[in-house]
Amino acid sequence: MRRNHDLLLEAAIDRAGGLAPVVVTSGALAAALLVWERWFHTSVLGLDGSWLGSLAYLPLLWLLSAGSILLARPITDRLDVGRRARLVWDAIAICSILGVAFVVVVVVHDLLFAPPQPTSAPGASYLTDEQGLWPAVRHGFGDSLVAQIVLLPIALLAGIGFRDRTNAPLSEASLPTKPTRDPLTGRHTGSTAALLSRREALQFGAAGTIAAAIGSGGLVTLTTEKAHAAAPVDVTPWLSRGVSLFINEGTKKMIDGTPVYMWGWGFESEGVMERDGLHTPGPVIWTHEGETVELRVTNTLNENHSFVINGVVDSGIISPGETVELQFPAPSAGTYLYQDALNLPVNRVLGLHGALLVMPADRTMRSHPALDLQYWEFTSQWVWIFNEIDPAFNAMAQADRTIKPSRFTRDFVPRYFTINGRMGSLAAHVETAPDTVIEDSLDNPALIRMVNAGIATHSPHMHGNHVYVLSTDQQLEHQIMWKDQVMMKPGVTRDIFLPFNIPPNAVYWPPHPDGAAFLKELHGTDMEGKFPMHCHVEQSQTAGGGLYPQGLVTDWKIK
Amino acid sequence: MTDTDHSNFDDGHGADLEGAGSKAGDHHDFSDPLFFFDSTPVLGSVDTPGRVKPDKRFEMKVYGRKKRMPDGEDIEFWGFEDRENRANKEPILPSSPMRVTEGDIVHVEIKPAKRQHTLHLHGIESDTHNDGVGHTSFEVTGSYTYQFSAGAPFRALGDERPKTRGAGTYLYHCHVNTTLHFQMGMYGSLIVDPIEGPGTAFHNGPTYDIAAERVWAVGEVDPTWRDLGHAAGMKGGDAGLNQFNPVYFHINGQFQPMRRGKTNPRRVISNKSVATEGKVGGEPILIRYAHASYTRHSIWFEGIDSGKLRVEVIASDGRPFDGLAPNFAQPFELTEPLEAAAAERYDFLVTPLKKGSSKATIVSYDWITGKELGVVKTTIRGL
Ligand SMILES: [Cu+2]
Ligand SMILES: [Cu+2]
Repeated sequence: MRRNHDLLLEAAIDRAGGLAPVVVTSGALAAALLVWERWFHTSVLGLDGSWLGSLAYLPLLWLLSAGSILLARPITDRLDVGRRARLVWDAIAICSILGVAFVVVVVVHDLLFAPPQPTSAPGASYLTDEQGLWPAVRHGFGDSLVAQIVLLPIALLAGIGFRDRTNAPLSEASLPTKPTRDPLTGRHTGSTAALLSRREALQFGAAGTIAAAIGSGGLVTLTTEKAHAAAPVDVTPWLSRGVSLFINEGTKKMIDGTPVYMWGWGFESEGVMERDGLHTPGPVIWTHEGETVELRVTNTLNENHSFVINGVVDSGIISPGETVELQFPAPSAGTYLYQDALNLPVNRVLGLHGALLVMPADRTMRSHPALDLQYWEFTSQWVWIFNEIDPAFNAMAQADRTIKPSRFTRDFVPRYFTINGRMGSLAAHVETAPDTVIEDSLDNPALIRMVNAGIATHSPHMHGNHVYVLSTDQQLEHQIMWKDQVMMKPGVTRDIFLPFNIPPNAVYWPPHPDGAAFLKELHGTDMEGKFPMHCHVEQSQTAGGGLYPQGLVTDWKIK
Repeated sequence: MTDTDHSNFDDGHGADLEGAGSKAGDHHDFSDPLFFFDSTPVLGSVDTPGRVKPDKRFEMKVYGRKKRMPDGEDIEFWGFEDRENRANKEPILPSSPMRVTEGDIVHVEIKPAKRQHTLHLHGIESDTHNDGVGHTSFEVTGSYTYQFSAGAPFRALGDERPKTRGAGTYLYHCHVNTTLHFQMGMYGSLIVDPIEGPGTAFHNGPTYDIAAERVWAVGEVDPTWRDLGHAAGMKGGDAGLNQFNPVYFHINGQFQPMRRGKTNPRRVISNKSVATEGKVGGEPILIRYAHASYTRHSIWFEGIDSGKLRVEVIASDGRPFDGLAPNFAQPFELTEPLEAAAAERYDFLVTPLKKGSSKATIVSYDWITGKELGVVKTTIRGL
């Protein structure tokens, strides 16, 4: 089967912890090797030679070191050992591969030029004054073995350095400046940033403006003006510290162009500020078990609102213009719906909802501390919030008319269906929905925290892989089912685990090259490996009564 | 019974076929409401990439015919009809069933004839070009053969699984303007038998009486959608596809009797393709329930209350409850009504404990109001 070499390289770099750690570590290994070799030759063995000549080998050694790192990771990935043992094995594998490569370099060097002459130094017994392959190999192995004294510690230290960054969602202070994967979400932030700049150039030109800010979770917040003059495409930010929320109003454009009045959220947090924003859903607020959540919620509108997480916190009525300060201990690990619980479910469905997620106190990447990490550790995590809109009721809210919940539930005719506030093609492309569309390589499981903030019972359906349903309303399922459909009742949160398996019924994997090429020719872009996720209550696939499938749909992709 | 021969299929977007299928790559405006319409390739006939010799083959033609409802109305249905069922002019609802064995390479050829369709093997996960989704692959008007392997190796949970974890109940359907096409009847069951063959629910799983086994594809019909064309709403305009108001309720196309415009809960569907019976002390009965509509269902066996039946839930969505991973589902006894959402499947192992007949009931609730919309009932008899 055809292999895409770029993707393979990207995957290998990814596995090794990102491009920067690979470059730095391999540089350190190459430099150490060079310096050690020179010092050993001159000071211990009493040989002479030029530093400049050796320096010429630096680029080669650097490349070999990088190659060793990239080769070593996939090998040690197969080992079924704990994290610490894995570090040691990583170092051994890297140094072994580099050691062998170094032998080859020495042998080639000796054959092309001349092998070093033996000296009277005590360690130099492996050198002979003969010419030929055998002495060259002896010289190479000798040097290579001795060099392990410096290589092993460096490989070990470097491993500790980047293993930590790729696996532990530590405090914000420990964040690297440019992670390949966001340590909290596990998402490829590097590629998203690249994608934004490419999009800026290609798609929006000079007329479009993109304001990008790195949120405290290391995520990117962007606003584009050209695509939606009336409603900015907003990425739901993930916030943790010093969060202020603002209950705002405004108009959003539906996919068919219909403007609809909505309630939504502005926010302020460390480094990010969008007080006048109109985010629906609101920012994801995340924390760990055992921590204290502090929130300020301001109602900028002229009617009462509230901020409630069932069983966790209740602001009571927030009057027009009022700001409340909320402080509460993080509840047990899981996904929570926050909402304006006044006039339930009216205010929630009109836009005042979002998600709080609590991660286990031990900082592991799993949905719940009772889940066995061997099976349920995820690589990236996502929040998918579902909602629907009946513009007739939004118009009533705009006119400040009272909406009775009983009437709302009885007469609600949903015309637009959203996932993370977007519908259809806007929700199904990573360019416009980087917080929704999951793209990753095989065996990088994604935890998806699904929240139904709407009024209808949805039935999300995953193509391409079955998912494991881990929990409902923070309660671990005692029977974890392997499903292609997951029932989502209104107000419910459920965590599901998308394993990123090879699609089990594919006759070929990687997919047959003719199929991949055919789809690429048809679509002008790589489609093979891309699968939809959509609600199977198929009315939800419409917008304005038609336009299939411009509703509650997104795509995910095995890269 | 009239053969309308796809008459309703003609007001689709056939005239725009040439315009359709422009490349998504050329098309960067994801906010365009016609994005999917414009970027979904509509092709004639396509060869299956990497075609291999199949172990099982199905050839599905698309039909459109009318069927009489319990209240006397004649209603249009569309569906897929396998070669072997074609002599039968009686409209099939649901579409022709398929049955294969784990490890089979399966070919499903569709021949839409006029307007474009696809066949998505719901729950079967093949590569993208065999997934039958227009916006990620293509739709066809001529023919295409979907290729998949039933029960291929699973690499789940980070370790190598046996080749035998895909036996169960699946639900295939057309994925073009699905809201309409699925509801028009373009769905059917796909059963994957374990390597042991029919009579065993899954590899190393419980056995059942083959003669008593039933698929219950539970569907609902909104007669107002019958006036819509093949591509209704696809180019915009309010086709009303956001509102589903079912009037007729059925299991496998056998309709629940009606009274004053509503389903009559005192009657049952007695047709032998739905109702079943089993010997007390004999092999249990396997019921393969599939939600083939858009409401919320609640499933209950009255024989549990009266001690006539014992019901175990043994699999869902084509995955056995085999408890192979920690916390992973194991078969459990049904003690309260089971709720199911659109397209879910559950396999029930029903053991008759006493002689006599008892009812099985599936109630449909509106997805928003939760209001009861209708009911289907049938019987299970212990002999
Ligand atoms: Cu689908
Ligand atoms: Cu489906």
